[in-house]
Amino acid sequence: MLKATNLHKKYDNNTALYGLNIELKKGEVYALLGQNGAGKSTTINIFLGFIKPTSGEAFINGISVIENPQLIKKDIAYIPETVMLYPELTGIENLDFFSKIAGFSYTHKELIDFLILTGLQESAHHRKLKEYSKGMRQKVGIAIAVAKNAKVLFLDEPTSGLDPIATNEFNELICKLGREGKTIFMATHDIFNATKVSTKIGIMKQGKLIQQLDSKDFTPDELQELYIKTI
Amino acid sequence: MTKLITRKTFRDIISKKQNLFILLGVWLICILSCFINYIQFTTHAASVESHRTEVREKWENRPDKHPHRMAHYGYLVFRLAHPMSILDKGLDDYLGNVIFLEAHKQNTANISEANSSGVIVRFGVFTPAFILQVLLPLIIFFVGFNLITKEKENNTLKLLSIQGASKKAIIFGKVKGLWHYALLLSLPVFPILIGLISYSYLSTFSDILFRSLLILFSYALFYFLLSSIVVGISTLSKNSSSALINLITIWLLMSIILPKAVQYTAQISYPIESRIAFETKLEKEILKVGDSHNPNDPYFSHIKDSLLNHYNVDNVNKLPFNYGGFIMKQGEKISTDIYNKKIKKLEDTFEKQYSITQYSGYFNPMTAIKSFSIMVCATDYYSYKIFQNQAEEYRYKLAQYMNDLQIEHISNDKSKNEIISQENWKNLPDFKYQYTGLLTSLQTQLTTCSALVFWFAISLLIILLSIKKLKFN
Amino acid sequence: MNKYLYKQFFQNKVYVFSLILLFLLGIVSIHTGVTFLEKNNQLMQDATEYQEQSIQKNTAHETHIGSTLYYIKFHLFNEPNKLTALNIGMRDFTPSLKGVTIRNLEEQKYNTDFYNPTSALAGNFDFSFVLIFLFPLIIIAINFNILSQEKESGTLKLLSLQSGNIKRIIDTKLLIRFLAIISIYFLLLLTAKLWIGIALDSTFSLFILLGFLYILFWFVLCRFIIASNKNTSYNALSLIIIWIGINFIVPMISFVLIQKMYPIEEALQTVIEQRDGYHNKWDEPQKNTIDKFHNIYPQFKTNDTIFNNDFNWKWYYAMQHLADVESMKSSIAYQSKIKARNNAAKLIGYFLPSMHTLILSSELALSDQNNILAYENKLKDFHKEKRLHFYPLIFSNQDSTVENWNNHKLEKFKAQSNVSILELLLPLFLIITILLIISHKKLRKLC
Repeated sequence: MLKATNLHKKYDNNTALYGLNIELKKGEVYALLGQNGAGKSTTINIFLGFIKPTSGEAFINGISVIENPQLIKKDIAYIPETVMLYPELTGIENLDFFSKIAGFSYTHKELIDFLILTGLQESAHHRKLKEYSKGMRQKVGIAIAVAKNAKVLFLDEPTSGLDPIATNEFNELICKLGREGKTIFMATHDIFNATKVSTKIGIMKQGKLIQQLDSKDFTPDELQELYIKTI
Repeated sequence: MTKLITRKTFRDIISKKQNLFILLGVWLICILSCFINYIQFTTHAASVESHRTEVREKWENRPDKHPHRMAHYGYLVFRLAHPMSILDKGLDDYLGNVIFLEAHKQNTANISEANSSGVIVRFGVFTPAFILQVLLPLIIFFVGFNLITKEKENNTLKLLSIQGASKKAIIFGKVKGLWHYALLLSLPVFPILIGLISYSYLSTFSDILFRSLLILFSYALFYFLLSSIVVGISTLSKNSSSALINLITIWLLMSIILPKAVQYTAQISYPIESRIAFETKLEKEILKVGDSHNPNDPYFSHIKDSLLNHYNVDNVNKLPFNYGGFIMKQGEKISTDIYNKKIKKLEDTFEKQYSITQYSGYFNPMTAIKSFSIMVCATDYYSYKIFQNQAEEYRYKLAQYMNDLQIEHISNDKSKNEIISQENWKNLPDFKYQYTGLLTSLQTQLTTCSALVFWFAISLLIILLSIKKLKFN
Repeated sequence: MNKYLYKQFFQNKVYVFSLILLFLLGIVSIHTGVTFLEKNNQLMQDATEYQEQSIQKNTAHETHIGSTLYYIKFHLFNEPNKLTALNIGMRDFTPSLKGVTIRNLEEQKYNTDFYNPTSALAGNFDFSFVLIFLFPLIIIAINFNILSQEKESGTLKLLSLQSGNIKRIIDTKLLIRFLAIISIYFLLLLTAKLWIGIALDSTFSLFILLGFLYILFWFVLCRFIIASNKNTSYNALSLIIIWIGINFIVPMISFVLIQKMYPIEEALQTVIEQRDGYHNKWDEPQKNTIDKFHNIYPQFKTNDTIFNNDFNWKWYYAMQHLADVESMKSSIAYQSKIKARNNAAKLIGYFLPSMHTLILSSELALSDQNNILAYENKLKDFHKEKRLHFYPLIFSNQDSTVENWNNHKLEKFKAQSNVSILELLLPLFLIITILLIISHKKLRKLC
């Protein structure tokens, strides 16, 4: 579903990525760990089509990102660290608008269903977005992703700033989406959560993917030790 | 796609309470200024009309007298602006309202509104044109400055792109959304204006309608340009504050600084000589040809001699026509010819100054729309020139008519105090001022028209540039 | 601590750039004034030359002095003072020079000079324009976010913890900016004084004081807005709206109201009246006209006046003067309307600092409506003086050679500007004081 082959990204005075290789299948949940500046955001932006790699290739669902940036947009979704959306519109209105942009026209009931799917309670649907908590906004962001039938979801620091209950809700949602066949790609600092939710883990250091492992092989403590040793 | 974004942009603007407040406020002051100007105009028109009839009556009823007296009695013509001046007063307040037409002398149009109003005329006039040309742009800038920067700050710009919105759709959609708001601000004033202006019955409905539609169209173009500037600056600015500051600076440049700078340049480049310098030179030149009051003047002596020869008499009193009248007619012709030549040179200087203003329309869109607006409303310098020309033609006709009457009916015998019947006065038709035709204006001022087209092209360029420069991350 | 506040201000490139820009624009505006004075001077010289030439030409041949005086124009020059360079006011479209024959005045006094109406419409780029319109913008630009920026960047919380007196910090910041702007103001005035040669008399001092108070007003206004402790956009928006209101909307609406309250249809009426007043006399018996004239000027009554149908100069000039007499009522009504308009504007100006500053500095610079009216009145006296001087010569049928024409050179008139200090200071003082008090209260609440 998602493939990066030898991705290089060089800027004028530094190299952000050195020969990155990743391959993900349908339903995999991938957690990319690494310090700030390691290259996590660069990787995501390349897959999103916002940055062109200096060399190498990236594929979403078999389609080259570099050659068809507009085409791959149908299959991807992005949930940033702070989901802001349009503060003066309600949750439903935001979902409706962005779905229409993506070319989907849903009925009121269908929109509500999407929001319920992500765990956003009905009482919040008609409140303005500026009244939402971080967790609630994130849910709307995910609802937008689901509503457009995205096959790959990219998330940036999804659990930062979430309280334990919200984190739990989030984990359940991600696992559910994975089971439904969506591929999830998360950039995160949250090692504990990484082990809980992901199927595969990658560790980046200074633009290189230096470790890639199956999360079921490690406990959180073991992973943390490995992380600190590696970094 | 573009339609979605257009609709959303428009709805976002309208749903903000302060923008609705602005909308109502603008409509209110527009309508207010329409009515105020309408009343002012019709009052002035009524007074001009009553003065005109009074002058005509007095002319026709002057008793029998020597025609030369009538030539000195002269005629008073009053200037009335086109009813479209209700929309845009243009130069009207600074133009004289009455010209005294008399023999031997060309007078200026005197008594303008500005002369009688004190220094506060400097603050400008409250017309719908001011609101549409100067205020509305500022409002558009204030309403739309963060159209792109806010999306960036909310992270929604990236999301729009991921959902599949193209750069073109985003930029163009926002321009159109803002443009629709601008149209909503300005359009309602036009039916009222057309109604009021037509109600004055001073021009045909089709003339007014056509002019109004032309203006409406030009404003639509103008606001489209402004919307594209707003979205362009918003795209290029780092954050909302700097976008706002940049736009306010642009507005200041367009509305105040550039116009004054241009006038300053025009005045330095083509200075106008004073009236007194003009008259000094004029007198010198007329004298060079001949002094009709000097009995020993060589030029006129020559004429006298050739006339005497031709009619085979030895004394001017024996000529079959009034010699005095004839000489005056010659004198009038000479002085008028020389005056016209010199006035033409002066007018050329005015034209050159004026052309600098016209050309400045190519780098200041506010000047472009203003020039176009006053041209279509016939309150520009060109229309004023037409009025002056018509008045001067009438003056010359009057003087020469009187001279002809003198030549025909007055004998050369100065001892008889001869007079002619007052019936003759009626034969000089009244002065009928014809408003400058729209087509004539358009044809002679192509620079003004083309400036607007130029700016439309620029607006498309700005949109293209914004599309290129729009960055999602 | 103040040292750092100074540093903060002057290291900000945008601020320094705005100050330099303001100064440069001021210099350009002073140049406009210098050009204006030069042109005016040239005009005076041209007029002197013209009058000499015209007299020479018209007195070259022996003629009845009445016939000579038909053509000779006597010029009265409305001399500006040096301050006019800083506030050109109405002098760019009203003539500073008028020439009149001793024929009826009413017909001649409205004649204008050549001016380009487009330039008049755009207005002058003189110092007063820069002061009244542009200084406030720069003042707004450097003041509007003094408080809100601290708030939004998060440093306000820290500041209020470090010092209990936020008000003092804000006022210090304002003071620094005020000193910067005032320095530019005085620097420009100094440049003007040296360049144009303005004497430091009471008029100039009042002019300087007026501008000073105007700048102070804007600072106090900014303080008032800042004290409401709203965000940056709100401050910017309200100050700009106030600027537009004070400099455009309110003066414009006032202008329209004044026009409505005092319509001046009398003006066109006087033109008709004076023309008929004179020309009608041609159809009346001479005796009537000359009798009326003798009623006004009994000193010219002689026993040997002939009343017949022949043209004579006494009759001619009597007709001319009576034309003035007959249109006097309308003329006076017109003048009084203009005066009323001016007074109404001044009254409104008491509540509106921008109008107040413009009107009063115009008055000080001899470029306002009052000056024009004073010039008109002087013209009337000048005209009368000439008439009364020549009447005896005309009526005794003298020849033009009898007069010593060298006595008739260009005359200059310089009005006195009687601007009372109280009128100048009080309105601005009051407004400034009120704003200071209110903003003081608001700022107190802040801490």
